[in-house]
Amino acid sequence: MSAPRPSGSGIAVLGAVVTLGALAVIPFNPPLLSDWLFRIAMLVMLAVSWNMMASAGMISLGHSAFWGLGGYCCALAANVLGVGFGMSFLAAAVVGAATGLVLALVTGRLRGVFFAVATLALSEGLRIAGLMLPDLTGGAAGLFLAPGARPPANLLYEVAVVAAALSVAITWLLFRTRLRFAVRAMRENEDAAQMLGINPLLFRALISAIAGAMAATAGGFNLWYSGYIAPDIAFTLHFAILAQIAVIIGGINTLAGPVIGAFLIIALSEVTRILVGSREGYSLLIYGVLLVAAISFLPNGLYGLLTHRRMRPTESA
Amino acid sequence: MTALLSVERLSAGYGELRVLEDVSLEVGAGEVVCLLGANGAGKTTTLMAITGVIGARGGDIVFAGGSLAGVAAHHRVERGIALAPEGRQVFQDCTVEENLLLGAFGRRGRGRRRARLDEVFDLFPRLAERRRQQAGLMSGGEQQMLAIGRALMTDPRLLMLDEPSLGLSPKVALSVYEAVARVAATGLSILLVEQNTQTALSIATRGYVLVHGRVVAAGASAELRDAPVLREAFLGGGSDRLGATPRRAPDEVTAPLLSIRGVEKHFGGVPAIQSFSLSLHRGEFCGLIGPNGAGKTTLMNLLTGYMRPSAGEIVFDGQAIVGLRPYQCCRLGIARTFQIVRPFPEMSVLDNVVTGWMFAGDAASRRRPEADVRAECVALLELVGLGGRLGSPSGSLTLGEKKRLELARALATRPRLLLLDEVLGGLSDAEIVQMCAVLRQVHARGITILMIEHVIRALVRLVDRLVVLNFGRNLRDGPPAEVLADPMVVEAYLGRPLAVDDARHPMTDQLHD
Repeated sequence: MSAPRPSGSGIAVLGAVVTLGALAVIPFNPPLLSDWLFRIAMLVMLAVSWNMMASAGMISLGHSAFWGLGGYCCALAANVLGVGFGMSFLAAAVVGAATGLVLALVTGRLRGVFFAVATLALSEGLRIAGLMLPDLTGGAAGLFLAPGARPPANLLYEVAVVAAALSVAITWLLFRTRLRFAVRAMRENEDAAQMLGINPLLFRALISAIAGAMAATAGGFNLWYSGYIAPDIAFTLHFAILAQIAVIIGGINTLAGPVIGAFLIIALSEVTRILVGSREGYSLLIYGVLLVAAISFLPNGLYGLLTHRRMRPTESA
Repeated sequence: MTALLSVERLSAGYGELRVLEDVSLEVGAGEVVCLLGANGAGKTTTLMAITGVIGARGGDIVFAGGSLAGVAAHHRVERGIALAPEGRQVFQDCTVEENLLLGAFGRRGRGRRRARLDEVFDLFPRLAERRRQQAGLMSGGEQQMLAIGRALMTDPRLLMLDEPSLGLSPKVALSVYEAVARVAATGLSILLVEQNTQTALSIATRGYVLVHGRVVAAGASAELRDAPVLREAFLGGGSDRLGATPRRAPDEVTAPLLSIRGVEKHFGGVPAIQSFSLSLHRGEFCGLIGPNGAGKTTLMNLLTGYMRPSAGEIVFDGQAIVGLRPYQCCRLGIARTFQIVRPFPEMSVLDNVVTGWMFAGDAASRRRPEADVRAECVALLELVGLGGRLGSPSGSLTLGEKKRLELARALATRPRLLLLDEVLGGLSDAEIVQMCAVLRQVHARGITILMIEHVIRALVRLVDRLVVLNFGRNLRDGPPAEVLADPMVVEAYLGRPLAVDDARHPMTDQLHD
């Protein structure tokens, strides 16, 4: 994200090829491959969203809040209002954006670890609220999507791939504007940024709303995929943490990093599943080791390794 | 008598910054020695090198007959070196007694800690009264006594004090110094760092004067007290290289650009700025000086919305700006640089300045094509002499370059009023000459400048007007030559000797015994 422009066109072409490739493959219905692509697409959205907030200095530990809210929005929109598959995402995105906006306004000047804990509290609070409002959320028993509401699997996969590509494209477009100067300045020194006319609250609210909409949309896909939602599933930290690992391994504050990371995480989860079966502990162990290795040896992630960029700033002129 | 502490040709610094060059000094057993110098002269760095918190680049430090080269800081404590650091740095959340016992954490102090605790309470009865009090809630003077007491708990052979009177009112400073005198009377060796030179010299037997990291004078206190070199070290002597150019005459006809009326700022109950008033006319180049802790940076924070005054009003170009946020102040046309430079380290030099342009000024100028903005910013960087470093990450610049980058970034916001907070601090002589030339050009463009500075010899050649801040008050305001000749100003910088304190204090006799 810090350097979208120099390699922008190259990445755009590559992204378009990958997206079109995925779209072209899915209709032939290779179940395993489609499933992988869908999970990658979901993780890309979540990772892009997390990376966007991180790039403005907002380290979220509770991205599951958006993810879970998105799931519930889609479930309730479909079951209660009878809204279709497509429109339910609009509801999820609006609620996600509103939550992001409120989060930015309420946390105000909270930074770093304090902001992170606030996001964690938001996610946990929503989980508890979900358990305590059974009339709305079905409580611990959860909610099933109304039978017959679910779209054909291939359509769901195709839409997810398009949405993931869109989330990357939106980020790319946003960071072509002067926003990229504002967020980097805020991340590197907010006090100094203010003295340059940057209103941190405005940009934090904007970034948080957009990122919230993206993560909630990703959560909506998860609901349509599984057909079932419950507070402990919706607000699990599992996917939020996977998204963070994807960003850190792929390359934080870069455009391509979250995408590379998402591919790697899904590939890893498949490899560990085949090698060590369903013993959850091993895959977590491998993620952990990789994360430590990436933080220690790849400060700019795989993206940095691929482009031989070590802290090189935006090319000028 | 061989010296207890002997610093031999010490060189030290931080990162690229060289602070000390060939500093040599000695402290004999039972002797009180003071180390004097203006802000940034290298006093604290000398103490840090003796404690081992920073490494020596050259030279040697010998303590009690053994070299300290390669000895870790905590082992130096075991050998008997103790420091009461600048700004006191007591453990805020611990009680007085806990703070003191933490001082005896090492092997050296641990054995006799109960007995020493009583000795410290004897020396500082105030601390005994407050032994269960949370340290962070005590007054500055009490915290200073606690910092000294904590250092004494290590059972030191050498006690080092870093600006014990910093930020204290004269009366409280006096009581701290009385306590230091009591400690000295026990026969402990003391190395005292001070800006309040007259007080320090009245308690020390000998002194050294540091300027720009070098010892420029050494001698008995009586000799140093009236030595011209001392006054020069603080208020600056001449330097012809700095030159002077004809200036734009300030516009005193129209309403002032900035008008500060009766501004107050309290932190808790402590006043930092008291009924301060100042008017700046368009085109003025005004210097703001004052000793450490006088409230200069607080004033900057009040003018730019980082802090809100407790009382009073600030009007910029006809508009009241109290309550505005920093970004709003910036858009009105106020720019500032920071005392501790704050570039965006991962951004290139040019991007730092472009960021300064993008969000300031009116909407039309913000929306100019990026190529135009870049060209303007390149011109600004050429003005400050960074034209050759456009693509470098700003984190890789030297301190002098970072200060110039901050100036260019502030200028990119198209200010009408530029606030400079120690832009010359930490620069080499050559860099100071260069920066002064840049500032003259900036002023010649019609930008009004208010400049906080400790490098007074350079400042007086730049400004038309000098304001002295002391204890948060406007002490003196006028042409630089007159202001610097004022005995009140000299006293604000150099302090008063204890002996001339109005109330003839029982301690004074003992001090001059």
